[in-house]
Amino acid sequence: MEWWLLLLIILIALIFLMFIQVPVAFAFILVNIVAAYFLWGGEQGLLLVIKSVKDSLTTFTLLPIPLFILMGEIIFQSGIAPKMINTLDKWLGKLPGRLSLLSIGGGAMLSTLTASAIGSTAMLGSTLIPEMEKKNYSKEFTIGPILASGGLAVMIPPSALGVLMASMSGISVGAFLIAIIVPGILMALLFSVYVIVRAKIQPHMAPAYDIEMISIRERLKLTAKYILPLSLIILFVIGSIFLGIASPTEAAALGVLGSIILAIGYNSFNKKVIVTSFIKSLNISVMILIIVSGSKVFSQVLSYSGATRGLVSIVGNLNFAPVIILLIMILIVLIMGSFMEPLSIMMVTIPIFIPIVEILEINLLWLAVLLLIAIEIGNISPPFGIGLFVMKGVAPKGTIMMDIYKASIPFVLLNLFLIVIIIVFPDLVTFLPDVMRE
Amino acid sequence: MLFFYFNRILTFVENILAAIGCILLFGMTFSIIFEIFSRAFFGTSYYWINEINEYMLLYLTFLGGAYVLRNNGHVTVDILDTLLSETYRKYSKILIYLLGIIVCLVLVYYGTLVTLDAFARDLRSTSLLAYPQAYIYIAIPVGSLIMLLEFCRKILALQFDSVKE
Amino acid sequence: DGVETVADNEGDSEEVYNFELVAYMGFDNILTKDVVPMWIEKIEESTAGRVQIEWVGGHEVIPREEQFDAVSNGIVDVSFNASAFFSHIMPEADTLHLSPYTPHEERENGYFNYLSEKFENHNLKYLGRYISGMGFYLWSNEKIETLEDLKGLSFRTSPVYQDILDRLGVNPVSIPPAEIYTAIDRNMVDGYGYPILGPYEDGLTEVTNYIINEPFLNNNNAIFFNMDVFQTLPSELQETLLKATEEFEYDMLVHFEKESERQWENSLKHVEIIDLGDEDSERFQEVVNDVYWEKFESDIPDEVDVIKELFDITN
Ligand code: NA
Ligand code: NA
Repeated sequence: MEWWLLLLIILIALIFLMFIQVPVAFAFILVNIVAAYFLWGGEQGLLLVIKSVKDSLTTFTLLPIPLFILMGEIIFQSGIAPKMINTLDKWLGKLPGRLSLLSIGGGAMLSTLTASAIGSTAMLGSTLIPEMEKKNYSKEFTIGPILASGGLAVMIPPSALGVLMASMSGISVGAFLIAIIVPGILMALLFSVYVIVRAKIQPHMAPAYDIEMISIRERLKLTAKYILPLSLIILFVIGSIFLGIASPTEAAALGVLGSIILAIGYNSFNKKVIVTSFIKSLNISVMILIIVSGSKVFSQVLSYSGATRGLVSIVGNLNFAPVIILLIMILIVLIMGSFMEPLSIMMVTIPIFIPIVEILEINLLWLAVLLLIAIEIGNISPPFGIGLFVMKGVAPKGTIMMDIYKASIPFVLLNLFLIVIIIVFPDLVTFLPDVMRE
Repeated sequence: MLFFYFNRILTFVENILAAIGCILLFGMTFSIIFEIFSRAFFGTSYYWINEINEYMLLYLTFLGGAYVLRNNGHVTVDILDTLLSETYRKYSKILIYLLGIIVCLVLVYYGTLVTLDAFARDLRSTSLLAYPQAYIYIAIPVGSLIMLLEFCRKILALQFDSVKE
Repeated sequence: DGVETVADNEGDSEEVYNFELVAYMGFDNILTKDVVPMWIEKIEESTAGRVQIEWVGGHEVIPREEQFDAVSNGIVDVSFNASAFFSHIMPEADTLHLSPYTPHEERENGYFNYLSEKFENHNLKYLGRYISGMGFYLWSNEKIETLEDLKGLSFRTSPVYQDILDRLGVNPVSIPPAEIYTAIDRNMVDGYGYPILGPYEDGLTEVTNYIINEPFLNNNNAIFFNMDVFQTLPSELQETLLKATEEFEYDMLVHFEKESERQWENSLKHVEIIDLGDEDSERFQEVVNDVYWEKFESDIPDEVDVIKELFDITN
């Protein structure tokens, strides 16, 4: 069978299953099972599915997912998060869309800790959403910024995905990690400006609430009490990576330790907090990990079927201007981002893109940054994407997929805008690494 | 009456497995912390701790699967929800649960075959710990079996609900 | 019944055979990206296009630890794989790490046949291997002048040389591949083991100071076919495939020699080369040998004598 026909059938089947509301994880596994049966020679194929499920989950780098979620739950359940938010709030004063800004700021802060977008989205979601709901924020303003700031985790070092991207494209890892900093900060800025402007125009999206104005002295006191201690967690997580005490994956465990110490410090570490945190973390982790596993095996099936290679190699045979080819590459990665997990996308696209890029004399560093952003967009753009699914899992009860779609669209557009900016001004990517080299 | 016992026993088993899941989560956190401290303060590293954590990720996922299913914690794409009538939704639920049962049947059956094969060939992990792979795989059929039963309960519950109506 | 199959197919000299290949690394890795297409080209040329092979991918298609079984069960037809990823199923494969011979010597002195038999027990046809005479090195950020200097250091480990590190008094730390860079950069570990191919491509040399010029063990890589599928080929094509792979082994010696040279040149831009000195070098290799022979004694006790004879080791 032609690869494109196979791709079409597999995708339609998956989309159909998801639309009739088969849980995403089971939709993936069901398609994997059927495809494996036909592609991999019947029962032998099904045995391989089981082995692949095992291999996809017994991966050490997945560990931060449950651990960061647990850390977030402890911070939230013990009541530290709301206090912290309230205090930060006092400083933000009358800025419109405060809590949304907070999730972007929190996302940016968290992204210096985490290497994975999924862990970051899940943690922010379970920490901030309850507070935003209480303040009557619209769904769009609750969900959107959190969804989007997951992407910051990848664009601000440390970034596991960034390291992989660099080594696969044969770029210096160090240079690449520096190259993503400006685009990452730009991303955070774009998000913030959008939130402020939109909240100004449509105040009902993020209703301003009364904050009692307190003196600077009081504010400093609150800060010392509720925000400074939080730096303990940052110190634990970033500090341990920076000082070479822990690897980025291991550091997540220190984050949990930090949150426990804090909770004890605030005298709110009791049985109820412990039990609720663990059970909630279990729920979210299981939900995410099964989807991760399903989509990893799905990526394998697609790669085996030749669909991904076929799709990607079309680009190689096009006789268009470099910019057009670049845009097509980005588009392909964007589409793949909806169904596949980032690592697999890189593994199939990069080796085919790189030779093309070399012929066209496109700067590799620049292209890699663009592709990384595109992968993240694919993750949060409707109708599918792991980012969207994770968000649905941590969003308040009663949130429907349409709410999440609506919330994601502005940020997808902002990210696309960022891609345009970077295409027009490549210096944004290449400037810092060039400075470093001298 | 039978359903009553099935109900209670299944809930009980799911809770136990979820509790084990939580303990695993606890174990993961503190084993990694132990490794970090032992390396930092005593210069000793326990290479098997990372490996055991990989296995715990799999155990956690499959042992917690049914509990999460019971609480409707598995994400669905519900964009068509508002367009559908109540009757349709009931039938579509039955279809979804049946598909879930099929998935679980495959996972249970082939998971068992892989586990038995790994046991028969005494397959070990490719690491130095040489952990028996049968003990890793077994989480898949066991967890899937409970998920299968949970899907069955959901179908049965639909029937009982309509009787009540 | 293998003969019958051959006889059946003998008359049909027009038929084209299509096979699928997976490798333990993907389209991007230096150990596979050029090598696999070169082999395919060789096969297709020498069979005048009657054998067509499609490289479907690396471990993004089938996890590398599962590829051995996948070929054996006929899910795919051929695999390029390193013993580290199938010695849990076929422990004899690890003896490749200690083979003192070039691939063509192995074909003459019986070791090739020995391995072929072992593969055959798993329904696989061993065609040959393509990496040889290329060892692992210890890459370090500490200056190592004697074996004593290694004691108490922390190195990133892999199952292939974990016991060796242990025996040398090095503290083995387990770190996922994607995080080696950060771990080295932040001094979480003092070094790692790696062949000469890899660290430069992965950017690791940027954050590494020294390479100890003491290669140990053989990197190895086997090419194997599903036995049933192989036997459906007419006998003359089977011969051609074996012959072409034998030639390929020669080609690869040259290829990897050149590649190594290039990587040495690249690596030495960032990394300084250090020597252990004759006495410590000998001690080091002794440790390597001891570790592996002890491993064979415990994993495959019945094979040890056979292998010692094949490797021409007397004691
Ligand atoms: Na990050
Ligand atoms: Na998408």
